[in-house]
Amino acid sequence: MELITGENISILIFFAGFSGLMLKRNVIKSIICIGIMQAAIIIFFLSSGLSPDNVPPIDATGLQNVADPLPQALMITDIVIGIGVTAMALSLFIHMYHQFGTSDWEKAFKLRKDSEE
Amino acid sequence: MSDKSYLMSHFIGFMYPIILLIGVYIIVNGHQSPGGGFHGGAVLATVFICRYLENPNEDLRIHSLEILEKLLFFLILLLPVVLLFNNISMSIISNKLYLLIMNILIGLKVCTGLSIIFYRFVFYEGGGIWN
Amino acid sequence: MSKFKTIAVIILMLALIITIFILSDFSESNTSTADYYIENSEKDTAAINAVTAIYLNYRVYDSIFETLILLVSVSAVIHFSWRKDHE
Repeated sequence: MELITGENISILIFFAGFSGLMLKRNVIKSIICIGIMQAAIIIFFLSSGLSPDNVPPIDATGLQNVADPLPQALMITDIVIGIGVTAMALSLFIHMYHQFGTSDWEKAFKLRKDSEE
Repeated sequence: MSDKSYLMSHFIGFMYPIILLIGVYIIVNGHQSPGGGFHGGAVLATVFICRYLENPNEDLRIHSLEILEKLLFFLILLLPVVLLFNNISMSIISNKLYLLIMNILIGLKVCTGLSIIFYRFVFYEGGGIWN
Repeated sequence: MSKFKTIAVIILMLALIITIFILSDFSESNTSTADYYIENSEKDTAAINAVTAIYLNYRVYDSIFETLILLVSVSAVIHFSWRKDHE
């Protein structure tokens, strides 16, 4: 069937992570959903332009049906960027927990608005 | 969590050199088989995590890891500027040597960077208000 | 509160189906960049692996700034820590 390709699965995972980011109230769950969305984008870039009968691009001059090496080389850096963003987001969450006493962004917003008046 | 479990420490102590060997193999054979600096560096970082899982009480000098990371970044910046951005024509052997040294430097840098992030979270942020 | 959540879930599922239909006819038949990389990567650099030749020779700027990202994120984690009695 044409419905179970790599791009469709990656769009499904992306929207699952996006709905989790919108509908949950805990900050740790939001950070996890951002990581899920990053993984979905990486899968989408890798699986557009690949067919099931491709040969890996190692020692392949003059062969037919070789896989595209350029998106693979660019997605390596994307994973390390995801690690850096997650590490900084978690260390900022510790500051928020110590200041407001809760890990709920709605309650922290109300506490911050009450303390400003 | 400052008490260790004997099952975890004995099993991880057995797996420790195997993971080290696989990581070094992935880094060094980056130019002729799938792998490279970034992939092998992430596998080598699990060696430091295994060391913490085996013995959670032991302290580590994080300051020497930080100095090593800055030195490695300076070397990674120096090598392409000297060898690649000029008009000198290189032979095959010097090209392969450049690929090998760059893969090893990138692998070590990624390993130390990720293990510093892990150790800062484990040693300094836990305890106290979280227990 | 639950009525808002059901409306949001329904709109998201509609957006999912529309996106799958928009991105389904994605025929790519221009592979000149990939052909150049596969043909000439063993002649220019001495690497058999095409991916290694790309991220270490053709696009080495990305790898250099990638390591810079790691250095900045490590220093950000050390700077934003809560405890004040380190080292």
